[in-house]
Amino acid sequence: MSAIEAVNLHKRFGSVSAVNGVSFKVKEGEIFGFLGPNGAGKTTTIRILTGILKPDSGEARIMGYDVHKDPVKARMLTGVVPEEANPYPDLSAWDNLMLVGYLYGLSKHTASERAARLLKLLDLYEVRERKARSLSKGMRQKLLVAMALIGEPKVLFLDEPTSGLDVLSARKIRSLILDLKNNGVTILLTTHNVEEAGELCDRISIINGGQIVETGSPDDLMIKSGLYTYISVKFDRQVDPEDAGQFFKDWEHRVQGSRILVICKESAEPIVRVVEYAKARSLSIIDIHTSPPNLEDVFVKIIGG
Amino acid sequence: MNTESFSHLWRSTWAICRKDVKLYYAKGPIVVTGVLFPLFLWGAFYIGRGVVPRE
Repeated sequence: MSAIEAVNLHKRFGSVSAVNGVSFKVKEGEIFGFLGPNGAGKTTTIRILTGILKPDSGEARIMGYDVHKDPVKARMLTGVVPEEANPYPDLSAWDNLMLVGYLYGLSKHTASERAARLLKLLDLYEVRERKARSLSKGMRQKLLVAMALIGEPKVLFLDEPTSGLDVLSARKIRSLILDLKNNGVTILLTTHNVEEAGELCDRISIINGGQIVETGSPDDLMIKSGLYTYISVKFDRQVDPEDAGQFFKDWEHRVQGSRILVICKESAEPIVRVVEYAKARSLSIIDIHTSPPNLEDVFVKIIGG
Repeated sequence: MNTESFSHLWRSTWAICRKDVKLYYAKGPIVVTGVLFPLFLWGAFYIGRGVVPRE
């Protein structure tokens, strides 16, 4: 059974088609990334999956429960960190957490135990009595994460959880996301931070114009994109360009003094050839490094067409 | 609706009520105009009900 299942979701706002036939499945314990430019339909999809919006057609299921036919069961398994939401500004951090705990049906004892643990984990325990309005944006964001986690959800929706956070807090949230995954929580993450998605996600869907244009692991996406890897090798002495040209004729390459640059789609074979080349000509390799395409390049290529 | 979901519904409703009281109703102006003033008016009319107007 899939933890999250979207089947042919459609949603229009007037003449604008925000989501247009989105379908995907997320396995239990997987971190699934949703990447796309502004207005691509990421947040609308999350709103449909969390039961906030009703789709015009299609089905959304959480752990097998239809989000719109069986909303309470689906929501009891779900935690959400929305993109644009605030905790109640006139309630303290503690009261905000306890409120959500009660809404998840927790007893006072359990809710306060979990609230204390989460506040300590996210470095908010010292400010627990402060009203949410007096907390910084980063603290409020962390409080939202704590509020999403107090029900110990099996499925967690994170809509840009690290936006507006300082480097340390963002790192803490990322490490928390990985801990949650190790504890079997399924996570759907949307972010504008492509590198973050590459670091955290097992699979990524790239969405554009309300449609999923590509899905795969970060490595798969890099391979599918057809972008090139650059292998740069520096030898201990000058290389004969004609000889090197003959040896590396299968790939596009440049020879400059003692350095060879090989441009390829798949790096393993050229690296073996570089070593063979050095060995055959008694050259020492001073430096070798590869520059694979990064996920940002892939994203730009896929979205940009 | 089974007992468990009824209990959950009741507890959630109670949690939201407490939150609303804390956030919106337990405020000076609300207590004065929404509770004390109506009570005072009601009390004034109640006490004055038996009084016969003097001609």
